[in-house]
Amino acid sequence: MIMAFPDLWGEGTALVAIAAKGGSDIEFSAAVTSIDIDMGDRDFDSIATLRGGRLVKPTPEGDTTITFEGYPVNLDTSSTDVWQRFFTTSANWDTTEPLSVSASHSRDNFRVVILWTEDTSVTSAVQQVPQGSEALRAIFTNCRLISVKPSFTDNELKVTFKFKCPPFQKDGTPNITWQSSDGTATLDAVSSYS
Amino acid sequence: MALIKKQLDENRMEVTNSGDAVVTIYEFRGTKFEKPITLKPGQSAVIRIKQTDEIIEKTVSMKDTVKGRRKSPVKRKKGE
Repeated sequence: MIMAFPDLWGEGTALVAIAAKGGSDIEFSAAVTSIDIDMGDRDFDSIATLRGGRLVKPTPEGDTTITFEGYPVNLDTSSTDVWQRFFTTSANWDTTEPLSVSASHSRDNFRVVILWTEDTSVTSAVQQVPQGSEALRAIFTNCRLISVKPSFTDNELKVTFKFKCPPFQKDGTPNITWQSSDGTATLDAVSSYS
Repeated sequence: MALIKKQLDENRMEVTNSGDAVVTIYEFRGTKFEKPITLKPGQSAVIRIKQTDEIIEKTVSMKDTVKGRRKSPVKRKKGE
């Protein structure tokens, strides 16, 4: 069976699931309008030698930043809230209306999963993509929500929020995974972020 | 406007997504039996929450069944 990827991943194909460590995956795609992934550089320096040669010295891979523009409308953490996620940890989220959060010294870890697929039966970025459907998925683990910038300049409350994750954990375990399937195999669901 | 969790018994919990976003929860979270369950807004599901060793115990106890039907309990005589 020959499967074919689309010419490009376009409108209506992206899903974004965000989970605090130990929490549920919340689908943000209904409230997000743009995704910008600034992958950390894998740069190097070169050292010139006496005869004009170059010694290549790799520099450690940089951190990756994922920036979203979207329209969160409340502080409901079972929905697309960014303010409680920014200011405090999931253990302290307010779930009783009216909702409130104040600045704190606590910071949470998050997992950001982005999936592109034309399979409309898939409604969350962490879901399994069945055989017969093409998909591309990026998984960023142990991210911090480092920036939340609300603006109301065009008579609409738009929020630009940014996650940042290092490429590796302390023990060298990778934090970044990319996956794709051409439809000849199932792309498995993503395990919980625990 | 939240995930409403209702403990049905020691093994099961009913989760209702009363928010406006799609939410994925996990049955047997963190175990090899883990299974994601995706809830659209307004949907609810009953998830099992027992730990791994208890599931194994339950699997073993299936020996007590005959063709899918549980044997009737052994009647004990008075005084036993």
